[in-house]
Amino acid sequence: MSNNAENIRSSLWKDGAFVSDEWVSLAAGESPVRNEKVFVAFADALALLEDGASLPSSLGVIVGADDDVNDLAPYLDHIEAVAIDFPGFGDGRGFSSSRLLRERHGFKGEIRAVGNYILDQMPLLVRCGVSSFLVTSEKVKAGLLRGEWPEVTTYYQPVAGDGETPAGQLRPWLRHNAKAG
Amino acid sequence: MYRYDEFDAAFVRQRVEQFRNQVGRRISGELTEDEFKPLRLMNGLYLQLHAYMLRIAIPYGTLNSHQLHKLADVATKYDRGYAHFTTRQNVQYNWPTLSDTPDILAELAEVDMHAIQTSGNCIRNVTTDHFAGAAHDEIADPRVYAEIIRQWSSLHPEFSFLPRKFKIAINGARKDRAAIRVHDIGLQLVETKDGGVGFDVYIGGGQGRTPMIGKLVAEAVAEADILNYLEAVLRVYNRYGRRDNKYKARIKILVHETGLEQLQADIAEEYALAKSSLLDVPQTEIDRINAYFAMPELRTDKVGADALARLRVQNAGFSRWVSRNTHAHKVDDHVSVTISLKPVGGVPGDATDAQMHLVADLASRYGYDEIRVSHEQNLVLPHVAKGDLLTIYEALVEADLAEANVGLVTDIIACPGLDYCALANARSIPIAQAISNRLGDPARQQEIGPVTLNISGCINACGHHHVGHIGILGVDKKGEELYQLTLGGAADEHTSIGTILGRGFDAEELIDAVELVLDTYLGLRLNKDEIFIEAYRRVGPQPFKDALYPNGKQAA
Repeated sequence: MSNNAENIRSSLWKDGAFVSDEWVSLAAGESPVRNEKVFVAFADALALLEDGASLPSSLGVIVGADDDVNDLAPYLDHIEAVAIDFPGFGDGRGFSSSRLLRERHGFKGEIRAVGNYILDQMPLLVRCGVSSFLVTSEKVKAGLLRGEWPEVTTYYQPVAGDGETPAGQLRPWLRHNAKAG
Repeated sequence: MYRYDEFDAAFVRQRVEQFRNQVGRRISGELTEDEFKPLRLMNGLYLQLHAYMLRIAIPYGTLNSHQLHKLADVATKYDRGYAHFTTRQNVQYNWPTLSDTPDILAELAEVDMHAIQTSGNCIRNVTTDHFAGAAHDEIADPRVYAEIIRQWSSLHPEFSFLPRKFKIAINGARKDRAAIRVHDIGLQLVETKDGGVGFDVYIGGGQGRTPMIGKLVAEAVAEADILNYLEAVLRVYNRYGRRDNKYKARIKILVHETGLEQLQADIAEEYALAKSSLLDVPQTEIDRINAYFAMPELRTDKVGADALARLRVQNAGFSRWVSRNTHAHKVDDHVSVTISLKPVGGVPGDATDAQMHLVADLASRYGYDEIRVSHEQNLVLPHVAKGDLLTIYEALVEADLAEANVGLVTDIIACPGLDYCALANARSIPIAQAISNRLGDPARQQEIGPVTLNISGCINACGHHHVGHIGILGVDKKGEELYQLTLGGAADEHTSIGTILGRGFDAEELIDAVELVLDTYLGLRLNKDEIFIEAYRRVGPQPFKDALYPNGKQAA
């Protein structure tokens, strides 16, 4: 994940627009400043949460592809945001991490995707519960600025995606996206 | 058969437009081939040795006549007048241009067809018994579950970027005609204690470079729970399957490395937590979708059935075809007909546009508008009145589709091999043709009796050589195409992986070697009823090694 705070500030995609990013990220082992909104590496975050004494006022946790989000379950009240890192677009573990956070553990805070995903994966990530994207790929950025959102808006799976509603009386697993019309 | 409603139709139309946009971005140069690759691979488009190849899904191998006519039209309009039916009950076009592919998919969408998930690291086309709904030995019709699983797996938001591809097969009969034990997940329909229907779940079967037989991981999972159960298995696989080495990324390796008991516990734990009423499959929906697959109103044909014996006496060729190419039906005066796509000396699984039109016409006139594709790469008319058999046979003879060889040595399964495939080490098609020509005499085939012969042009094993009674694997040895022989594989309810006999043969030696294997069998079988695989299981590989490698040195 990039630590370039400037880059992060200019590249956060949320609710259909680029918005300013109030969060900064710490490298592994770096200590948070109390008044910042900080993303902390997974192991460091778990240590802070277990200790409980020196938590920053707004804690975000970076979840790598190898990290088990279930470990965060006891501490979700103290976590404001989670950043799920995609080491490469072919690595789909983050899709499961996001659904587990939203659906199993009922996490209500921001889930942002960071790292190497591609534009065509973004609609699927939203369906899995991702609510913002740190965009570092110029191609993804260009596509979003052109208004591209390559999605099939009728769904065969009941998942926790925002705005998804049952599609009709038959086949209870069908969903469509009320926002997409 | 299942008919799309407006929801399903909209889904496929949107997917076509999404793909058209992706192809457009590739053609304009906005996407490089590297960037386009994962996108085209999510929609069945491969870049092969000489051209793009487009793989179209035939869900659980079921077609109606409109769909088969459309496949023929696409072959005429966009390809070179033929298509290739695959071991996964799909169909492939070998020569489309990139710019035509969105139009091909738009035409196919008109008849409820698509290429969704025919490639890529996702859940692939669900396959099943080609006699589903017709077979006399059926516990329950697997198609309704195959359709429900098709829907659940289509563009699944969580499971579209798995460690590797994922194949599910379902069998509803007592005899396994869907090769479920060599799939990532194999589902066997069973009667439950309360008189209902459930699934025995096999996990971690597969072929490729590490062939493994699926292991029973759960028994009698209830119908209502099947999607929940699959979701649990897929989540465990998505999270813990290996991603560091694509040759170790299939779920069979996870099963092997984790150990069945531990993985069983992991899946059970995930299932207990994941089970959601949203994914329950209500009985009303099972019944409603099952109604699409109801047996057609079969005409009564006692007269035709009675006349069949007399007609067979008068026509030896017809009689041989009825013996080999028909399968017992639930209803006495009907049969299922297998139309062999293995003419002696032909390319296994290929059909011309004219042949596809003919089969579609026969299906609409005599076959209640149903056609199936078998994983053995043949076509099937599942419901045919016995009185119509002679008419159908005579029409098939005219089109070179009446080879009476189903289950015999020339009914060869073969991958496209080095004639088309970018992964192949060796050619498969010319080997299949040479074996077929050598052994094609009807009396000879009859004498040899039932045997499966499967050919793969590389270790990826698309030709299922591991589970052929006789398997042939093409390898590249210092630039030379060599072929290894394996014996003793099987893909049915007694699934086994074949044993390599010894060093490989060149293409010419191989044909002699196959013949020698069969002659050895003929010499050692107890009687004509002891078929090849039974004899092999009795005597093991040694007599065959002795025949092939008389000095013993090169045997395995």
